[in-house]
Amino acid sequence: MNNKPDITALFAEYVSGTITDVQLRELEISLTQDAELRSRFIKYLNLDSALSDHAALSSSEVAEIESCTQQLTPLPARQSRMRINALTFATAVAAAIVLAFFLWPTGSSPSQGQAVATIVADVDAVLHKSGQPDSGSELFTDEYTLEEGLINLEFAGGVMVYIEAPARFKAASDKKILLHSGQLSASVPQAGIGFTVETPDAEVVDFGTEFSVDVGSGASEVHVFDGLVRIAPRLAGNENTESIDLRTDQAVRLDRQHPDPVMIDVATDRFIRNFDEPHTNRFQRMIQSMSPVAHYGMPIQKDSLACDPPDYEGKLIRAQGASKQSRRAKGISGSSLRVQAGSNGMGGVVDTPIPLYSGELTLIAHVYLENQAPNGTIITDTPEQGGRIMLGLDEVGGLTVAVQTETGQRLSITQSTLLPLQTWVQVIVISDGEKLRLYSDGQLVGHIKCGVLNRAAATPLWFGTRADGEGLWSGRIDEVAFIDRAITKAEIEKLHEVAVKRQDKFEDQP
Amino acid sequence: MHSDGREMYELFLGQFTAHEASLRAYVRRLVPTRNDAADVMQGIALVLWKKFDQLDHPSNFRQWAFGVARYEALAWLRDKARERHVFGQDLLNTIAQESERLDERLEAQREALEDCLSKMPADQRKLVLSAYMPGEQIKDIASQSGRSVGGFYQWLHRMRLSLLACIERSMASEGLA
Repeated sequence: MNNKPDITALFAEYVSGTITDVQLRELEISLTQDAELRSRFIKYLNLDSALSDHAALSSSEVAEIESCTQQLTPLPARQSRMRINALTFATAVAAAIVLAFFLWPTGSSPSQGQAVATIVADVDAVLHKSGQPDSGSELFTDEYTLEEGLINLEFAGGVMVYIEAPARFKAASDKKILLHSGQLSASVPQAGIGFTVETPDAEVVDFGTEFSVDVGSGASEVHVFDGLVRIAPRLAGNENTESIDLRTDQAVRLDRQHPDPVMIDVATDRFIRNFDEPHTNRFQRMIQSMSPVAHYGMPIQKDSLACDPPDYEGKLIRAQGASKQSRRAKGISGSSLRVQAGSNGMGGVVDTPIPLYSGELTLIAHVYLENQAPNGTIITDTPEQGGRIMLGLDEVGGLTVAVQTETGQRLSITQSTLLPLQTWVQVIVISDGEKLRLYSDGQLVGHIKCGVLNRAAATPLWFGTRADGEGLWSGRIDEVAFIDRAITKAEIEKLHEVAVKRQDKFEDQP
Repeated sequence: MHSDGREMYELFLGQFTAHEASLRAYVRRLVPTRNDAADVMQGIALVLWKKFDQLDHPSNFRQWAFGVARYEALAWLRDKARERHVFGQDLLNTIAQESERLDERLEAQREALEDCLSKMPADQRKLVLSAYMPGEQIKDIASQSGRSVGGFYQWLHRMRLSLLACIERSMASEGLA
């Protein structure tokens, strides 16, 4: 198992000079451990250098040089050779000097006019500035509406801000943003201390930390994941409310109907606080150690259902003109795939069947049900039409798995209780050629005698939906893995142990 | 410059220009960005010229120049480590060693690039190369292509991966894989 396809995204950050300290460390660890990845990295940089050579002389410059050359009087042989060599050297040195002054712009080019922030990345973003579509790369002191998708902004001092649609905001300065509605997360390095988020209910001043703000119709919430944030509430009927200092793992709700702020649980599974999928945390290492045939970590990638290896990559399906939340949401590790639940996500599909050779199968999936979804689909390759497995909910909302064996027998196991709402659940299906077992959060839900599953399945694999577009999931799906063997009881326990220490804790675990 | 000096200069220019592309590509693999590589290359060119008279034989120029380039790049990285995010020395040393071992293959890769570029649709090729042209601003190129800066970087990354895949195929078909 390797993680090159995902981590190669960091190659691009590295060569563009936009890599963060955390990403660099992640890349360094992976490169140190993986010789093949190192080889790819070296080739990537070699290509970057070669492209630079190709582009160093534009075709118009070549035409200009050629026209000048034609006007030169030929020199005697020896003198001519000297000239050519000297010219080549001068060109090489000049190119080196020009390159030295060439600014790779995201990092160092000065902002122009009243630009206060840079759009570092976007995913399916539809951004409007003062009501007009905006496709620029900078944010000005203006009113913005993020109609769809996600954007990553960089403010002064390296402050990284992630905004999820739908959101309305104003970039007030290079150190301040007014969030009228929506969700925002900020990561503030030391150089950005003092960065401020103003909401209708409070002014949130950061002292070097990571926090999220959620502004709804009647309240604002502030969640601190690391560091210290000072909040100056502006609640009606209580003009004298004192500032509140919020520290790591603390959160507060400022309700316009109540004069006093209320402490609440920190929401670790609500906000996207980074666009990067972690590669080296315990969870990822655990999955990778099982050598899955296909692993869907659900990283944030436009329109793509990324897979490691990429042979089984798929595409995402989106609803047109429907709701505006992103198909990407906070996952159990990194980001996840969101289906319905207020988003325009309608699932995904992989056309290339995942091969299974051993006659055994383990399917691991992590699901977060946001709303009841009777007959909702987590994953299916349509066993009733020649596939091998369907994992989802039954007509009342109990977890169910249905399979087809090589002999055409169709069997299923269903959980008698409903799948809980708004919490991550780890689901594991194991077929060892004799029995089919279904686990939920490490507990055996049920088992049934079952022969080898249909290895010849050649039907597409659907995520969050059936092939006919019905049976939609309503929530998130993350970290799906197909393993060509039946994993052991010890591995099931270990997976569950890692999962309970899940979510944000993963991001920091080396 | 008297005749001996001129002969020496001419010899140096011949050697340097013959290996300059390889040296720059080598340095590029050790430092984070192309700007950094250009910065380091200026220093290397000067050091190579100043110490050229210490080289025992012109046929050893390449190996000697690679040694100088490695030393200069690692020294530059040590200096920059205080103010910027750079890899640790252990990893850099490993990359340097493996780069040297792979150099012949990497040179073939650079040669295969031209053919792969020619297979790309003209508008994509133009857009990729424009991102590498000296003096061009990415935000302008991204804007012209209808993308945000972040979106353009992602696109450029995909193009690089496609080119690498093409190069691998091309080298495999020529028995170089």
